[in-house]
Amino acid sequence: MQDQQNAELLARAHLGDQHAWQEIVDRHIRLVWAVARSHRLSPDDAADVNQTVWLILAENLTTIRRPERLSSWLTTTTRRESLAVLRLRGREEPVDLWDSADEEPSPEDLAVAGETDSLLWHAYGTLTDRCRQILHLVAFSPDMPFTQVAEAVGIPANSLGPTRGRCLDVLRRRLARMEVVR
Amino acid sequence: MNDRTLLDALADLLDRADPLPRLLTARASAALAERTGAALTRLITDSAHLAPAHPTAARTTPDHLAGTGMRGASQVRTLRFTDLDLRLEPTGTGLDVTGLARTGTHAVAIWPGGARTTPVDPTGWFHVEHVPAGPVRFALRHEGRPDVTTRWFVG
Repeated sequence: MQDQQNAELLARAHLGDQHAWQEIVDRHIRLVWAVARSHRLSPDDAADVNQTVWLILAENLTTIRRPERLSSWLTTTTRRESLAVLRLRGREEPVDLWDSADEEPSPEDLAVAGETDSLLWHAYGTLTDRCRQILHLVAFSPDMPFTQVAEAVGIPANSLGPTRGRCLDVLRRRLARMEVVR
Repeated sequence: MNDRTLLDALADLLDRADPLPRLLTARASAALAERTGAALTRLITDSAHLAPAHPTAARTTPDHLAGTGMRGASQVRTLRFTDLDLRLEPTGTGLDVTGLARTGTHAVAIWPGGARTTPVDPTGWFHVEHVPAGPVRFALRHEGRPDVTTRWFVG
């Protein structure tokens, strides 16, 4: 049903149906934003990437060959544009998987209310970029197949499951450790 | 706490800590109206996709620029398409662009909601200043023929 709806929405949007386009945007914009932000782009750069992805999609409404994979197409496009901006800013995507991130959680701390939220936020902030990318994606798109998540974050599909599991284990352990010492 | 519960808590937290700016939904909604139907010129190379960043060039967005619409320090970007070459030089508030067109009499810098047209000289060169930072594309215009455009990219 979801596949048919995607195909139908894309076709209607191609004919200029703004309501269909809005439905596509509403369904996926949080995912696109999450992918851009998971690359640790600044808010302005992430906003530029977000807008660019939608402009690219609008030009490619008839070239999406597998509408059931629209989420994956958007994720891959967002990742590609995010990496381009990172390189333009003189930053490479970190490739280490298990070393702690060297930056503290960003100023969004202020928006996190409550001690449990705060602990989870800080534990999440100690994860590597790759782990944060993976967890960010699977948190917002729990139905996205592993192969598509793997493609989106640029790792082999057969390692996504174990990597996702290890990232969750690390997050859970660090959260537990923080709860013990608080 | 099982995996799904933990991920749900994380999704809820990320939603509150890093909410989607409302302006982005409006911009995404407006993207459909930016379609031109022009033929796309094929991208051959893009320095932003190929060239690794120089290790000494690492920079971050200065705090005083955050939220001002100004982007962080950036590097010159060069792109080669089938029908034109582009060199984008960041100015702090936007881009100065030098291009070499292999067709067309005018080049058009296009951004959401705006455009600037400049003539292509007899040897194919053109120059456009003060292109706003953000999404951009370029079109080549030749009277009596359909426009040829690049795809959108972050300038």
